[in-house]
This record gives sequence, C-alpha cells and structure tokens, in this order.
Amino acid sequence: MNLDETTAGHLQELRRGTVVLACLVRLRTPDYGYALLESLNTLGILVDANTLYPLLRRLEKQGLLTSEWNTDEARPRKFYRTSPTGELLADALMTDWRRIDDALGGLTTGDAS
Amino acid sequence: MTELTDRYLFAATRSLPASQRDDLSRDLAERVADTIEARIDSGASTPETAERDALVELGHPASLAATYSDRPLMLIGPRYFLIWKRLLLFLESFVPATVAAATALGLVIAGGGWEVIGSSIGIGITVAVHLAFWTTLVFALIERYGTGTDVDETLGWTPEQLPQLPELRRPHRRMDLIATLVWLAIAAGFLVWQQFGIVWADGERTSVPLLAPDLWSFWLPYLLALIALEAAFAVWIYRSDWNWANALVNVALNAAFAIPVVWLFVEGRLFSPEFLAVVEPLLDSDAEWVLSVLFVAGVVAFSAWDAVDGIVKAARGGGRGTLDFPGNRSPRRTEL
Repeated sequence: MNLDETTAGHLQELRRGTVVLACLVRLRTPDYGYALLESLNTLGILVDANTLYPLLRRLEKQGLLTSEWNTDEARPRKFYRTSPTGELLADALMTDWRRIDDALGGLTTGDAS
Repeated sequence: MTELTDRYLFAATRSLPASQRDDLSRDLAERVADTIEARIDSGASTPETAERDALVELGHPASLAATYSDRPLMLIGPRYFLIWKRLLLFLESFVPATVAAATALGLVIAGGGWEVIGSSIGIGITVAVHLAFWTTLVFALIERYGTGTDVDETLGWTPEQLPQLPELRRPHRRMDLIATLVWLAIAAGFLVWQQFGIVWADGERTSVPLLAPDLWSFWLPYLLALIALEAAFAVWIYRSDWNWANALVNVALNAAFAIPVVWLFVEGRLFSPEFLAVVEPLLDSDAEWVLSVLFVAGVVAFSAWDAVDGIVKAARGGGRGTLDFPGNRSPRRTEL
C-alpha cells in the first residue's frame, strides 16, 4: 500500500461517521437521494453515491430516518426525513463531534507551545 | 426508462429474497433515473448514450446489490477467522501425515512395493484437501446462518496459557545429555552382549548371537564407532547449542545409522543364521513379513524422529532466547 492509498484509507475512516451525522442533520428537511448527494457535496461533505444510497436504506432500517414516496412529480421519488430517534442520535453525535474537535484543538495548541 | 434499465434492475435484485426485491428495485430505479438525468444535465453524456453511461457508472449489478446487502461479503469473517485458522492448522499438522503413514504401513504389510510411497502421499494430500474443505465449509455455514451469540470471544484463552519466555539456560540440556549418554551406553553394551546370547526360546536362554558374527569384520565396529561419535556429538550439543549446522550433522549421523542397518536387514545379513534358525519355526511367513516391515519402519521412524527433532530445535533458535523485545530479561547468550 503506498502513501496515497494509506491517506485515502484514513480519510475515508475519518469521514465515515460524519456522513451519518450530516445526513441526520440535513434531512430535518425531507429530501431524496440524489438531491441529498448533490447538496452534501456542494457543502463540502464529500460522499460517494455508492456510500450514500445504501446508507440511507440502512438508517431507515434502524429507524433513524423515515421515508415516503412522493408521486407528485413526473417520476416517483423516495423522500427521507430524520425521525425523532434520528434527532436524538444527531444531537449525541454532534455533541461528541464538538468534544473531539475541542480535544484535537487542545492537542494542536499544546503542540505549538 | 427502457429495457436496458429493466434488465439492470432485474440482474441487481434477482439474488434477493422476493420480499425485498420490489423495494430495492424501486429504490434503484430512482437512482438510475437520477443518474441519467444528472449525466445529461452536466453534459457528461448525450441523451442517447446517457442510460448506458449511467449503468456503466453504477457498475456490475451484483456488486451494486452487494453494497445494499446486509449479508457478509466474505467466506469467514473476523468473528470466526481465528478459531477457523487455529482448528485447521491443528488438524492439518498431524491428521494427513498420520493417515499417510498408517496407510503406507498397512500397504507394505499387505505386500506393496515402492508404489506404496506414491499412494500414501496421494492419500495424505487427499486427506489434507478434504480436511481444509469440510472445515472451511462448516465455518462458512456458521458465518452465514449462525447466531453468533455462543462464540467465546476469548477462544477459551487464559493468561496461564501464555508461552514461556525462551529460557536461555536450557534447564533440560543436562538431562538431555545424560539421557543420551545412558541410552548410547546401553546400545553399545547391547552390541557386545548380544554376541554371547540374549535370545530366549521356550523359556531358556540360548547361546546364539543375535546379530551375524560376520558383521564384526566391519559393520559392528562401524556401529560402535558411530555410537562413540553420537556421544561426542551429544557433548558438543551440550556445550554449544542447536543450530542449522548441528542439525545437519545430526541428520547425517542418523542416516549413517539407519541406512546401513536397513540395508543389512534387507540383504538378510543383519541377524545371525543361528538366531533365525531358532526363531523361524515359531513364526509363519506372514508374521515374519509383518515383523520385518515393522522393524524397518521402526528403525526409519526412530532415526527420522531424532533428525527432525534436531531441525525443529535449530529452527526455534536453539535454547537461546529468540525474542528480542524491551523487557525480555533473558540474556541473549550465556558464557559457559
């Protein structure tokens, strides 16, 4: 494994959980898969379609998202929305994320001194 | 959406249970359509080629379906891998060799010739392959259908099972030396004593020599010299340690014993005619054949065992510490 692959592998691991968090927060407003993919990537939360689509189904199975087929448009689309359980998880994840961020911040300033 | 997409959806979902098929198919249809639309909007594809390009982008339907699947994409996952590996290595370490050796012995007793080597190796390989296959199959089934709640996460491990740190001082080496020397002394004594009759027949000690007296012209002195060499070598091992050169010498010494003995035996020159005359009336020809095979197998096994033992000890780095890590308090070497 060369350095690029190693870096890519670690980046992927670092981002894995943040995609879940981003989905849960973003889907407080209902949306469908492709639109979510676009908006997350526009926001700079880089995620691959092969990761996102299966993730949405898994989160729904875990009861963190609810879904509804919208047939108003030309094509039916599945709209996902964060469930109350999902909201709780999002809060917990966000708290932890901030804690880790603070801790890492402390580490780097510690380094500097 | 055209037939191409329909075929793609069919291929992607056909391995799923019927209950999940429609659901995933609907999800995938939305994804395919959105991907096509996006390709056209971004100008990546023309409307004519967009569908095909989108399907290429999604990749092989089976691997796409696999990303949605909860089923493991491995034969044996991390939960069972260690138990599987340990069991397989344990079984493979002795079962094929044991079966092959037992087969070879049986075939030779039944009157087989050189072809026995080939058939017993073949049987050994067959057994090894079967062991690997069936063990792996059982674990693959457990991986898929097992509940997994009954797995002992520690593999039945307790701290007491930790291996001893390699002992530098080789606590057994003095005992090894003494045992070897005593054994060699008995062997030398036996070679001389057998001349004066150690054969009992009908409850009476006869005065016939066991080994052919002709052998005193060369082979018996040779064996006595070999015993002296073995003794010197045992002392040498005691003073130094097992290493590759010593293991090689050990192999040579064992070969120097086993090859002449087996050769003399096969030529019919090992035992004295008087001894054979005493024994032969007591045995029918079948029993004689079986005993002959067992004698040869015994000599070969005894020598091979000793030779392999030396190699194993050399491979383990002798009695010296083989672990170099901070905190290993065993010194690397002792000065004698």
